[in-house]
Amino acid sequence: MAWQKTYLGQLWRQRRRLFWLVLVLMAGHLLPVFLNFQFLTPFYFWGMYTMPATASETYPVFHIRCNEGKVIARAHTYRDLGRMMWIYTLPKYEAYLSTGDTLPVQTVSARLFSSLLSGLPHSQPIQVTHAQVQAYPAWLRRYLEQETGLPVYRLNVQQLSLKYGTDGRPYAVDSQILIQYP
Amino acid sequence: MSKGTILLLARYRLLISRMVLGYAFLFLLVRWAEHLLPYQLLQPPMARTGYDMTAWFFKLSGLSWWLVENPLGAKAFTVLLLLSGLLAFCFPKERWFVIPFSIFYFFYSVCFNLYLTHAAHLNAMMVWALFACWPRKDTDFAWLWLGFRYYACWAFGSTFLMKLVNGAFWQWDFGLLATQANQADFLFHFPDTWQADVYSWLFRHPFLLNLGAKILMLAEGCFIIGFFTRGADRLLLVLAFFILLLTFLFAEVFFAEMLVMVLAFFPLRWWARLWLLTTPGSIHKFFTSS
Repeated sequence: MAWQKTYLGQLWRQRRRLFWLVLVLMAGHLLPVFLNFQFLTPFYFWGMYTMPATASETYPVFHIRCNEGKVIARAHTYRDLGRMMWIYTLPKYEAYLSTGDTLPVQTVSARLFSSLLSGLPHSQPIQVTHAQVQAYPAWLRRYLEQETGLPVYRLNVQQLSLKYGTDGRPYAVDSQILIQYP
Repeated sequence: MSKGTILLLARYRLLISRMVLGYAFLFLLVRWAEHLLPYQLLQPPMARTGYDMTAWFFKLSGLSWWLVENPLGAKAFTVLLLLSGLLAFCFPKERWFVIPFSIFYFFYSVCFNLYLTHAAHLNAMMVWALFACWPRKDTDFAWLWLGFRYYACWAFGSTFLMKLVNGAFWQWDFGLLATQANQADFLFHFPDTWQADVYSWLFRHPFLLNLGAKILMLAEGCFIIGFFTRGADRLLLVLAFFILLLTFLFAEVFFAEMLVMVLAFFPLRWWARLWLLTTPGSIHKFFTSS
């Protein structure tokens, strides 16, 4: 039988308990499909870059300057990890600032989790709160101090809107100040 | 797979586990240097859960607060993570070190995504590779290690299938649009570099970018072959590096930690060679065996 020669078939014959374990793990990876694309780490959902890309008029970019105008920009290199904490959090900060955390918390699963766990010490709500968003600029300043090894006594973050020209290079068409410290 | 495969993988367990644990520990040291360990996150205020229910549990239970936001807790957690990682690397078959390290590593990966405010998949492969090192019996390890190989095939194979279903594969200018979005930051901040010249040239000649995106997707799709045969494992190993290189150059990500998956595609002969090289008293056998 072809089934008996497969990985699962041999596991079934030789290691019955492991077979069930592997089957449960395999089912776990299909959870997102049944849970309306909510997921349960470490059962990851490998769906990045699967939707068609949308043609955008402008692209948002964050321009960080500290102290006497020193620009904090690290090119994407093999040392990508070192810049992740601001590359990923700045767009979220901007989004939370304008619309708040729009994660729906009235779903059955969210309410169930909240009712079971929210009484525990140092329990935090699922959504990011306004106070947490307000605390972000001070944290960014401290993190950049750690990253640059210099005291940051002045911080300015601009959100720029870039548009590509016919020469294949982006130009700023709009800018707004996102963070100004002090 | 034959019984011989299982027995051989079981025989090389110490070596395979040590390479997985060593890779995990090495990247923890890299993360230390790049200020990403729990205590170096400096009590970040924003923690985004998205639709990840495990992340909900971490926030609602206060676990993320204890592990990252509490300064003392973050330091203790960092010490535990590094110490258990080092011990697990030194004693890869000692489950008292390997299992706690795997759990700490998993907690760290959840917390990292929480405070990164992004559901990154950087640590996904490592979490499952470490899990394969849990069993007491060497043969059970061999079975789980083969299972991990299927998981690696699933990760890339399923993303290819999702591209077919969701439509990215059928969009011709996907390569151009995705690269323009990803490289805007670099081109703006580093306009005088040769890389910026190359990217802007590619944007004026998008055929290559669009073709490259399709080749990248097909490379991901090749991992489906891995479900049916182990004969293509060397090709898949090369493709894993190829995908990493293309995403590094055009998608502005560098998922080097995920490369732990290539160990799952090592042919048995390679493990045999490495085993001979790393086992005391076997150097002579290594030179006389070929």
